Amino acid sequence: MEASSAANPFQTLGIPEDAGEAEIRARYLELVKQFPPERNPEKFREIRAAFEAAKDPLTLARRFVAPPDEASPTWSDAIEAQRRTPPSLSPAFLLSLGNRPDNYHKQKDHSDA
Amino acid sequence: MATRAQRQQKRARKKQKQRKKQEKQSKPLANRPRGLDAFPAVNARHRQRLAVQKPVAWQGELAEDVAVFDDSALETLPPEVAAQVVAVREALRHALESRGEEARKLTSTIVRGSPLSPWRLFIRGLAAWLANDADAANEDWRRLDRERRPGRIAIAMTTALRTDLQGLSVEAANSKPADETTADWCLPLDDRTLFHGKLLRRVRIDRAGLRVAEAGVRVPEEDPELKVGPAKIRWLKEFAREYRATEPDLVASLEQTALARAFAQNYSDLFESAVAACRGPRHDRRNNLLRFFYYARFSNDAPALRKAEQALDKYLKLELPHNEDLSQTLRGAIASQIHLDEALHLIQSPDAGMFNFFFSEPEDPQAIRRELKAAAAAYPANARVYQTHVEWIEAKLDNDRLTKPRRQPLVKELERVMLNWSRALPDDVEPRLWLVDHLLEDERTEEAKPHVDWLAASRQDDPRVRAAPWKWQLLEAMRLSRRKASLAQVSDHLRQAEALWPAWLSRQWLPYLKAAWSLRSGDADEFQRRREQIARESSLAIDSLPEACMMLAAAQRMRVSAADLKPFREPVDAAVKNLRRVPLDDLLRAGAFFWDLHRSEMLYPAYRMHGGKFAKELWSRLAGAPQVVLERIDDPCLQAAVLWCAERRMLSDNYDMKLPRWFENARIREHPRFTAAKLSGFLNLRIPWRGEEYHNTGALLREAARSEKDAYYRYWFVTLADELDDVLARASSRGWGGAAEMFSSMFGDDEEDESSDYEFAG
Repeated sequence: MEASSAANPFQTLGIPEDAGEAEIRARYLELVKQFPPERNPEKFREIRAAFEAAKDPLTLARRFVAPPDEASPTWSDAIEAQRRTPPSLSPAFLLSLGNRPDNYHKQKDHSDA
Repeated sequence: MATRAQRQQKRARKKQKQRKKQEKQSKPLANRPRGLDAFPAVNARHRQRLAVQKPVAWQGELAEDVAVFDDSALETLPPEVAAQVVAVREALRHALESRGEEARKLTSTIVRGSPLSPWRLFIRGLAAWLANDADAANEDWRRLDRERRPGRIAIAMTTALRTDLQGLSVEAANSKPADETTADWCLPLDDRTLFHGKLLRRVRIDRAGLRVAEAGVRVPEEDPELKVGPAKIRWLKEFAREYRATEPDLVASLEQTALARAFAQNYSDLFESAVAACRGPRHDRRNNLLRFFYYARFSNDAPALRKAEQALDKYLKLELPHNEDLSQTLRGAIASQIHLDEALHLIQSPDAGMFNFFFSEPEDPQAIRRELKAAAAAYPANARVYQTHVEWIEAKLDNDRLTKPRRQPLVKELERVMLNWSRALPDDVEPRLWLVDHLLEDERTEEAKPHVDWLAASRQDDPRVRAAPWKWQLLEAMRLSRRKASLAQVSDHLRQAEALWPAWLSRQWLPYLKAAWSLRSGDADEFQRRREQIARESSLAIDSLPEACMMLAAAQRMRVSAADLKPFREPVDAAVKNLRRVPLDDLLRAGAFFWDLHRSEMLYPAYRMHGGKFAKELWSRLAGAPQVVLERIDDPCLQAAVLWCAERRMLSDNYDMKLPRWFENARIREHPRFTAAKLSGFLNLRIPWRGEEYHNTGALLREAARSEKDAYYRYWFVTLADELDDVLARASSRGWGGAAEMFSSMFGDDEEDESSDYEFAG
């Protein structure tokens, strides 16, 4: 018997439907911290079931191949959602923030002298 | 040589040009002409700057720090240090993707004395900074060596939070009293850290792209009826070109919005423009799948359907197999799901949609088999593929008029599907239960044995699985009864079956099986003695309907010869001819027996000839006798008979539920077994529509399962509730609620006219 699919596991976890495996796992761990099984057994079960469903490739596949909703999304919702999520930084960009000026060694030699 | 006047003219032209440029930049964005000119030229410079922004080692920089971004430096490090560098790289990736906890765990193995220990501190602060906790980040970062790369990055990141960065020089930045957003440990800044701070602020905090997007989408469409018009699509194309590098998520989000809005309006030219201009989501970058969905909606338009087919073909053959953004497993799952949906569409099942069911052409079995085969091949672990295939074949086998030559290939096909299912999903119970019955029936004991052993060893809650060893013994006894030479072994298997008899099944049939074995062994006296003893102990008159059915079932399954079987058929046939004369109690007891045979899947061949007739008679009497039902509401025999009627689809006409009025009575409505009967009837519908009316039955059964003592019902109630959830989820995802409502209202009057036999709740 397949796990019940009535609830949208992505909604339960609070992640976008195209979230990758790593994001699903990270969110799951975050929620488990918030709702540990010993204090919130019911909620934990719900989160666990949603996690299992969300990481199943078939759950993702079903979401991907479902026809789009006929109700069109609004532009302002898209902008608002983006306002809450700053653009992610790439490791290369982050590491480049530590660069020194091209003439650093000359400057250094000069100050040493 | 230019004259003074010429030089003045040149200066004036230059000034005018500058003024125009300033005016252009200060104009509200919304009023500007659309197109590339609409975007500040300064963004192009910003984009170019970001494109060349890469980590570069300075002379004398520590090799361990350089190795964090340079593979050639990594190769020069001793293995234990290199392993730490790899951990730092991985941790940075996790932290930047908002998985701070995992990042911290990865660097926890770096010891304090390691040259990489500043990176551990830096990553901890980075996770805090990204979570908008600047104070926590400061706490970690202020302890960093500002001459090393982690320290310099931390200074730039902290500087980026300063609100006074606009036009700030190094001198001013270092001399100005630090405002509340300035951390004094960052000072003094050099020109490079200040530049990096400004750059980071621009990328992550100021976000010019967001402002431009806000103004751009606010521009009204050419026609108020349009959800997205040609000008907005053109604008978005340019916006994406300008900002994809700096604001990839924002661009993707706007593109998805444009595509969804274009999809929601029926202008194929605009849809095609949007599809060509916007990049699709990661599973459908070229929007071929979206094109399929768009054109597949026009079911009466042959060219549109051709376009839909071409788009799907392109997606499945050219795009999906080469999509490196998705794992191979996910690609397989997507292909499998698409083929399954195609098969469902062709099958004309409830899943295929209401309109198809009523109006489409006859189904094409070859195409259905092709799609199901492709679905299983693309992702063998897709259980729904096998379930669909099994349901499709079983629906065909459910035809009483099907001849043996037509039935046999279908049974063979079913066996193949079940075998493939059990191989692809070894933990699934359904195919194994079916295979055990089928293979033993076919005398293929050796092939059945592994499935029986697996079922016996498994820790499944399903009582049918736990009953597998019992069933094995019983079916072995029946199989051995076929040949006289093996009859001696039968008693041993019957004894074993008796010892293993499941608590949730009535034992009333067992003595009949023993008696039938006596007859099969040629001991007519012993048979007679046993039968009389059964009659005495069970208070059932010999040849009464339930007694005759149990006897016939036992004799047929224990392979009693046709000549000996004849006297057992007679009372049953007589009852069929005079159904009205059969007492209700006999019908109820027979119904309870049939319910046991149904749930243990032990039905006998002759049942097909009379089971339906008894069910119809019993249900017509119960439907018109609310008093009887209410008086005997707690009688297990009545409950079992009602559940059997539900299994026989007596509670519906295959297309809609037809419940007697007594189902509205509060006691019946809240009774778990009657609720289970109602839900089972609903789930047996060819088209389980109006599912929302059954919503609370699932909750009631889940609640009842907690206190249910009978192991079978305890499990079955939850299974029914889960099935209901699946049906409701599928209904809502396919949106056949609206169509169902429409059909319900179209045919509603007819239903009322037909329900004249007795009163129905509808």
